[in-house]
Amino acid sequence: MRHFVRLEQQDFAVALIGPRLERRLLLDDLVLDAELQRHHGTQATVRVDGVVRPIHLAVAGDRVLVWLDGEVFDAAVLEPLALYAGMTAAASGLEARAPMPGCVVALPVAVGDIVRAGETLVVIESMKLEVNLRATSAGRVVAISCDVGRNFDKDAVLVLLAAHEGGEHAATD
Amino acid sequence: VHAPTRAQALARTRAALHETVLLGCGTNIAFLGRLLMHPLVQNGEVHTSLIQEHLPSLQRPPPSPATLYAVVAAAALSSASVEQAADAVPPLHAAIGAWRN
Repeated sequence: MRHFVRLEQQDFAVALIGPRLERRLLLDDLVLDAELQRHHGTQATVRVDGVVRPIHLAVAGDRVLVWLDGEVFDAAVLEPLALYAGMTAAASGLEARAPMPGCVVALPVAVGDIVRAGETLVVIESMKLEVNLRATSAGRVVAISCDVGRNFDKDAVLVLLAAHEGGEHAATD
Repeated sequence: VHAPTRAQALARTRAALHETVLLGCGTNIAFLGRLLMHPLVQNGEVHTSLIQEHLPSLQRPPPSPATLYAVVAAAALSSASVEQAADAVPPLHAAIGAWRN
C-alpha cells in the first residue's frame, strides 16, 4: 500500500519497505535510506542517503509543515483509499453534492432506497431558492449525511449512492 | 541587530532571519532573507521601487530534488499511518522488499 505525499502540487508515492529494523523509504521508484530523528520541540534531523539536514517539523492531522534551510514547505500525507474514494464517487455521479451553502428542505429518499436517474434525492434552499438535487445515475442510497432543517457548506456530500444493477429496471416498475 | 559595518549588520540580520522559524502561518521571512542577499541591497543602492523592479530574481527558486526528497522523507516518516501500513506487512513479505500483490 502506498501513501502519497502532496508537496508543491506534486504527488509522491511513498511506503516504508523491508523488515522493521532496516526500513527503507520507497519514494516513487527510488529506494532511499532515510531516517527521521525528532529532538526538542519542533527540532528534528532528516537523513536521506547519508546526507543529514536539520529541520523543524510540525504535524497537524495529515498536514506536515517542514522548515528546511530557511524555507517552509507545506506537505500533506494522503491515505491511498481517501485519494481514490474522492476520485471515484465524484467521477461516477454517485453523490449529491451541495452546489452552494444552504439548508435542507426535504429528503424524499431513505438509506436503502433504489433511485433512478433524474429522481430527486434532496431538496435544498440556498439564497432564497429551492433547488432539487437529482440523481445523475441510477443507484441505491447508501448514506445520507444531512437532515431536514440542517445547514451545510458548499461541496458537502449530502447523499451518497452505490451503483445498482437493477436501477434502470426499477425505473420501469 | 547591530554591527560595526553595513556588511556585518546585513550578515547578522540574515543569520537572525535564518534562525527564525514560524510554522503554521505564511510569513515573508524567506523573502526578506533573499532581499538582504540581493546585490543592490548589499551595496546600499536601495530605492522604493527596488522590489517591484527585481521581483523575479527575489522569488523563491524551485527547490532541488534533494530538498524535495528530504521534505517528502520527513513528512512520510513523521506519519503514523505510513508506519502502520509498513507494520501491517508480514515479516516474510517485508524481507522481499518492494514487491506487493
